[in-house]
Amino acid sequence: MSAPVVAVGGCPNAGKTSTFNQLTGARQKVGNWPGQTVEKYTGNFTVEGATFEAVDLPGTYGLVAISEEEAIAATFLAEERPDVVVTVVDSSNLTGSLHLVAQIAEAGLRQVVALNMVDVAERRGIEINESVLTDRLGVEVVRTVARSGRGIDELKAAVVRSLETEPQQLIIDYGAVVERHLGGLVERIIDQPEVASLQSPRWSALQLLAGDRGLRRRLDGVAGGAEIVAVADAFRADISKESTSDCEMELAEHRFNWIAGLVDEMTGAVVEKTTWSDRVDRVLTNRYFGIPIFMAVMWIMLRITADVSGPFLDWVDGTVSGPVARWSVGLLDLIGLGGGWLESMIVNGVLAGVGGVLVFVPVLATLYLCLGILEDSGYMARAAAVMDRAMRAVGIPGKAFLPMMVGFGCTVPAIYATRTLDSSRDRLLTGLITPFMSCGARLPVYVLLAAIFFTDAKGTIVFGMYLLGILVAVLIGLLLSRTALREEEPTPFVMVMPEFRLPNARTVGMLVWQRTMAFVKGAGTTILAASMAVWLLLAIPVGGGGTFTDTDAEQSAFGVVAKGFAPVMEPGGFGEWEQSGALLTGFIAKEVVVSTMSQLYNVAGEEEGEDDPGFIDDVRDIGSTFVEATVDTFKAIPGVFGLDFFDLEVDGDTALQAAVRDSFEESSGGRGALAAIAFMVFVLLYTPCMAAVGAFRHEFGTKWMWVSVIGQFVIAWAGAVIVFQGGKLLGIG
Amino acid sequence: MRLTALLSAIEESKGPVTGIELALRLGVSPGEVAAMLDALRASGRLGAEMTPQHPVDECSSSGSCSMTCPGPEDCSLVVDLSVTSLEIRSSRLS
Repeated sequence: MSAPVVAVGGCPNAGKTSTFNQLTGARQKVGNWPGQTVEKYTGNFTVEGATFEAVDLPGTYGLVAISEEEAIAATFLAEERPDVVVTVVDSSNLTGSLHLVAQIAEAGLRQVVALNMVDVAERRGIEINESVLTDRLGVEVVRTVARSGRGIDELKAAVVRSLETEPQQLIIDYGAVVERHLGGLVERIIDQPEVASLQSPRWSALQLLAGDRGLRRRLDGVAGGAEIVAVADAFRADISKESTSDCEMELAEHRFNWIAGLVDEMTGAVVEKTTWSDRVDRVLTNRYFGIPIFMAVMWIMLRITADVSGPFLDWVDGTVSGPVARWSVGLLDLIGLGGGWLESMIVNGVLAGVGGVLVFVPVLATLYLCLGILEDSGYMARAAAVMDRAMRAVGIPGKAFLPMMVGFGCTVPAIYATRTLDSSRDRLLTGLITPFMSCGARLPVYVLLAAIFFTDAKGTIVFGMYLLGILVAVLIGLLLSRTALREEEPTPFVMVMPEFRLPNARTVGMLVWQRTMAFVKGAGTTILAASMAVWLLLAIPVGGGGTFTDTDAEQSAFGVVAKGFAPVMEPGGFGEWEQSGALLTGFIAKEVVVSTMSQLYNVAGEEEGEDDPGFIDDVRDIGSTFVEATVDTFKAIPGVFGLDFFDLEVDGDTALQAAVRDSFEESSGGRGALAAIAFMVFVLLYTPCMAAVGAFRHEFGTKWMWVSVIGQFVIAWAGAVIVFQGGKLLGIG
Repeated sequence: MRLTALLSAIEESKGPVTGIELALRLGVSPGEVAAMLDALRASGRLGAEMTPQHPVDECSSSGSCSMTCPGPEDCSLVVDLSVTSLEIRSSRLS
């Protein structure tokens, strides 16, 4: 005799999988549901010597099959008819969870209800009288906290007890009109023995009136099935005519009212109706305050990112360009490879390129910390809601801002995220404007230039770039929606947001770690490859004299190409070949702009020739400067809000900063700050990276890819020229 | 006919709408709106679409993503909005 089958079902996030895991422990098998890609988990558990087979059903809100997951759960319960269904209920959201419980009870299946997360409900002051559920549905009810294992033994015992009882079928009163037709349909089903044998006739009738396609398919191959379906269709039409809403909504309304009454009875109607999260939401998503609050949050985030991370940025810079560079050269000397092309490659290629980007790890880590806090608290969901509404108001598809917000992290997933939009027009429009959102990779460029030219307003300048990105995206979106991509009928949808909560330190820490490591990994792959390529091109002499690795950079292969591109950039105030060369490599990835600058201005070996302080002194120096950086970081925090308690000393320019400053002053005829802003505008608006171009081609085809790349270049160039030439005309800089 | 009224309010929004807005529009509490949304989900009239966080399984399928992109499931750079978009589904047999 085979083991009784226990199906574990429940709504998404009710703790269904935790319950399944607690029931079966490590004794699990993974397979696929028949004909599906969705994984099927099964396992065994033993109670008092009897073995049970447990099946983990995909999460579902009800037994009306819509999504693939819902269809799997509904089909399994209808066709396999397990011996017991353990329905896992979120005790803190009884109304949401009890629809499934009610439908399983209406289907006449044997059921045990696990009132899970009772600890959360208790914390919220929700007192549940589970005996109401037992009385009304005739089911065993067990309180559980699946995460900790609380109540799992009782749940197993309840499963065993339930097998000794006959399942009861729940009868909900659906009102006179529906009940009349329901009764008529049940009679006809009973007249067809094959149809009646499938499942409870009342449940079959309810499913047919609710338009369930799964049951219709099953009836296709059953004698009398077609006749029953025809009667059901006629009854559906009748009910819709005789009621104020369609047949499906009639059923949903009555079931909802029945559940609402049940929940009131179970909780004494003391369930909190308006939470503090709702009250905060009213302010944060307010029609008038929502956008200013979002802007203020962004401003604070970017000020913290740019200003507070400064001391650590200096520390990493000093460590990479000082001790690490010295140790590398020393090591090469030690193994007899010093002074040759290998040393040149390591110092001028790897250290200058990769090291030049790694300097910005503290900046990125700070940005990711702020982003992580906003995400885990639930604020990003509010920001998306506020911005979506604003975008909709100007004719851009409401859902566009969801992928655009994803673009704050990286443009590539943001382009793929446009798949969540409904029409191809909305997808394309959003794909075209998403690259203007400033991704994390552009941040090092902003921070480098802002630190040089706008020491006291770094954060504000960086914030200005992010804001400009949003504005340009909106403007281009507006233009496209009024010309090439005309607006279509908007899709209404509800944005369901998570509750506000205090960010969890562990979750935020993991996010910061993973994202920072992704950046570091990028430095070890994309940026390393690009740096090596730039070094190689800089080492090859073209025209002029020199030999491999011993040639004037301006006469190298890279220099010649960059010089050819430089005149295009001249109207923007950055027509020096080093600047245009950095922008050229920036097509690969935006981090490469900084690494190329670092290589071209040849700053890695800045301390060569100085007295070597020795390894021990170096290590001691790294430690002491780290402590100083930590202290200075804390001192810098009040400065974000305009408070300067500590009179922080501002360090002088690093070698790279000094070289970049000179270069911009020269290329702009003494208007270095203005040219720096124009350069940042160009970096913000031109192609984010090759990966983004590939993603765009994958999603929208080659033609639109070229439209996107060329369009972004033209917009970036025009933006930079307007800033520089406009600023000159106004006498700025 | 509370669910029908909620469905109409969503339809009339012609774009994104939040639970708070619906609550204000219908003169009920946000908690009640959440319960009604669950009911509409259970009845199949509202359905969740793909989330912007994980819209696809093959982020790097074309070989175009950078060497560092592990795909959307593991892409730590995806900003998590934790937003679910619920859209109206027409009558199941229409």
